[in-house]
Amino acid sequence: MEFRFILDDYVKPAMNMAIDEALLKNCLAYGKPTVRFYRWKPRAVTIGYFQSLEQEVDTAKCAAEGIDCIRRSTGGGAVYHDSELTYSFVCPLDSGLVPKNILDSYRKVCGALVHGLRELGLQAAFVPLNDLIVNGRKVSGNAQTRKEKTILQHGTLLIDVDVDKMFSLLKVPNEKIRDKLISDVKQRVTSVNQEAGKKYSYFEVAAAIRKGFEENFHARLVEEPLTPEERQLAEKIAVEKFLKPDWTRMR
Amino acid sequence: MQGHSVYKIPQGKLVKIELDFDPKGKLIEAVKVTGDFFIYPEDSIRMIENRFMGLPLDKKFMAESLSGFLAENEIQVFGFSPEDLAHAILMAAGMEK
Repeated sequence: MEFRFILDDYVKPAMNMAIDEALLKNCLAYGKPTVRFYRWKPRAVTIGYFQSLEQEVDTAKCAAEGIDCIRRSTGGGAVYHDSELTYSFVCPLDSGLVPKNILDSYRKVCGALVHGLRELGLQAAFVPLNDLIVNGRKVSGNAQTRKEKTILQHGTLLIDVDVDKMFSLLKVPNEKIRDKLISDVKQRVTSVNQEAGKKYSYFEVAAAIRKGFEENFHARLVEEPLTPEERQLAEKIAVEKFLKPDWTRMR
Repeated sequence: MQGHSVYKIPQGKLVKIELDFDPKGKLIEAVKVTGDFFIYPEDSIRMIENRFMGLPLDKKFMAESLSGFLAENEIQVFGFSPEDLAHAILMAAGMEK
């Protein structure tokens, strides 16, 4: 079995989400699953499909720091994207690669990260519905959508984490509990480098997670770029969806 | 009248409610549900919100109405149950804590 592998580097936030959506839309036509890794420049806050931008994010603070705010096509929570590896995985719903049951399918795709983290000496575990933990603390959040008989799962793997920075950009329900919330989250969230006691680079983590996907799916990941049509489609989706205030402020 | 609530479901996600309601007749006029949950397919959130319009602010009635609607339309929700959502709506109406 062969998967397409796209190792992107820094990409603009709206394009990151648009490329994932273009991969989903073109998956059946392309004929094989795709694994893509990427990171974000400028930095970004993404919010889940069902979240309210105004309620979750300090948009003025983001604007002042040059941080983009983007609504995802997938559910889940707000994420501050800085020092991390983000992956996306796209495959046909009836390919048999991933269980049809939604919870089982999250577990299956997250298995690639579990395998990959083992390469870095870390023992990770899947915690339903959509988290991955190392030593009891969250290191990865994941989100999946299903459209056009295709599954798209994307997720973030924290290489380093800066909880103070993250919270300076997110709104909290009650300012009085901000400090407590920050210290709680510091207890609950960790990163690859914090747990490994190393300074792995993006590309080192990418090599490990690539291997994780190969082992998890018994597949060979072969580097092939986006097709020109996919790139064109992604650029269209970025402009017509992810950069539109109508979309970003939809809820 | 308007009300809002934030409900962290035990072992679940965070649900935020913005509610317009008639306190005399105890009826829902409009509801907006936001949060870090998952619904498949995603765009059925609008159908779910519309479903609550005109319903009585009654926990059992709301929960049963929603669970029937989810089953009929093959909608899957992760992060809250119909009872959780009914509770969050009653919190927004000031009828439950």
